[in-house]
Amino acid sequence: MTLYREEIIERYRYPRHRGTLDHPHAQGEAVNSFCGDDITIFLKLDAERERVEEARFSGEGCALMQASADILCGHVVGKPIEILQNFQAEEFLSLYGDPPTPSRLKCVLLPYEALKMAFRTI
Amino acid sequence: MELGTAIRKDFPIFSEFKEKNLVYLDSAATSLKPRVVLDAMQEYHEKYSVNVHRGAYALAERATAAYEDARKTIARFIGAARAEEIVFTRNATEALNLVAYRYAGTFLKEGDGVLLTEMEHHSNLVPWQQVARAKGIKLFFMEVDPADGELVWGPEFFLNYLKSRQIKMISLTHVSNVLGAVNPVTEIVRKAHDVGVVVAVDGSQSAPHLPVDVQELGADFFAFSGHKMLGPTGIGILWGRYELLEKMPPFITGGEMVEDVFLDRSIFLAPPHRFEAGTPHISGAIGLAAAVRYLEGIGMENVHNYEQNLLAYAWGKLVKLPGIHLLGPRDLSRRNGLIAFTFASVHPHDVASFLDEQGIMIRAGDHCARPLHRKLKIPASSRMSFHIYNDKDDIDRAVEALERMVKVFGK
Repeated sequence: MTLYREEIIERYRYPRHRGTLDHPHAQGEAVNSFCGDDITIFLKLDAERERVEEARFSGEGCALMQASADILCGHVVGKPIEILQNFQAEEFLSLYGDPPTPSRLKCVLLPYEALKMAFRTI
Repeated sequence: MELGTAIRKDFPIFSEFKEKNLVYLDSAATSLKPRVVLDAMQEYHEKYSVNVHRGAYALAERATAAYEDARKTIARFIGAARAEEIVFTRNATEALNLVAYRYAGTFLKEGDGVLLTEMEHHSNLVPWQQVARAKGIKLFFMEVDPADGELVWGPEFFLNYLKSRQIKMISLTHVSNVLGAVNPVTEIVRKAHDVGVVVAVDGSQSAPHLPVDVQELGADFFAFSGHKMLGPTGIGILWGRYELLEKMPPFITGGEMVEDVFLDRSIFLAPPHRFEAGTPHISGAIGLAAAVRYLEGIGMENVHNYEQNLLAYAWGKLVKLPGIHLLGPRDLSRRNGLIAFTFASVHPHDVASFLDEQGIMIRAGDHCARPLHRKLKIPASSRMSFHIYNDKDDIDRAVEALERMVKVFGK
């Protein structure tokens, strides 16, 4: 088993959701000072403010964190906020795929923490 | 004596990893342990595992003799004037805490200064912050030049610097655990002593790798850990000039450190036992002495020369990798035992994880030197570090893996 399966490297090198959003409806940041990782997630909602219309992430961090952020942003687009507010870390980890080693778990969960922070601003 | 692959037979862990061919490049964090160390500890546990300094029976005398012989062996190893200058602690961290709390904390006054450096391991920084806060002592820092990773230090201005800031004590590392820089401790001590400033040295990264003679070095305190120099974990050393140790109050108190006890007061033993409350780590001291004898058998000059060769070989290979930035002095003769580096496009934790998946162990993170990384404007770094069981093949494998990594992660 590897931490760096093809999808992770692919997402790290060619992220689909990297960037920022002007006038986001929600935005959340999470920091891991241990490794200097820092991520912000931006969300744009639909006109009814019921669903996520667009999600982007920006920040610095390791490949696992960036790939995880890309997977997470891809997942939330189109989903109802009501459901996402109850989105559990375990669900996200199973979506992420092969579990990271214990020492790298935090890298994978950092974008999830940023998403939770973003929901607090809605 | 041939080092590298030839002596791996002395280290049982290599036979555990026979098929995977262990590539261990993290000896600056902790070293591997040779059979002689494990045997010495096992012999204590199997044949005379009784307490020291107490029993009037023969076995207790044997244990006490082994424990005190360990002290003598370690004193000889670092050129201490007498064995009573060797205090057993849990690790270098505890040794440095002992100096900070009980020397500086007792003899420095409010407004006095303590000079540290920007390259200190947290173990030689955090205790000073605590003592400074409690006693109103001011902390000052010798700067690190971010370009070459060396201490910014000018002997001509030093005395004025010390006087104008009321500096009474200096505590600095002998060798940086991130930059690999060997600091000019002897010169700094000479200048400091001209104006009566006491100097403590963190020898965690020097004692395991180069010949150390505390009297030549001239410092007043020297702290190091057993587990980085082929010894067991849980045992460290504080060496101090006897006349300084003698006037310091105890740190941890209890049994084994008292001459007499009344209900309302106690009379403490002389050093070193004053600083060794409770049952000590007897097997640890015995194991560390075995490690010292093993290193003496090889000769610290040989250890140092061998590692300098590895360092030069690794440096020559690493410096060619695209996007790499090597930390620390460019002049390899001013370095020792380790190389930390960053890659422009790969996070240090990815570097370590990627290499780990190929059976190569290096370290990534801030190496307990957060302020230094902040100064260098990097969040973390990767580090490979060497000891006598490493060889050029280890470095080749690490460099090949790094080459692959650059291709995989390259953007």
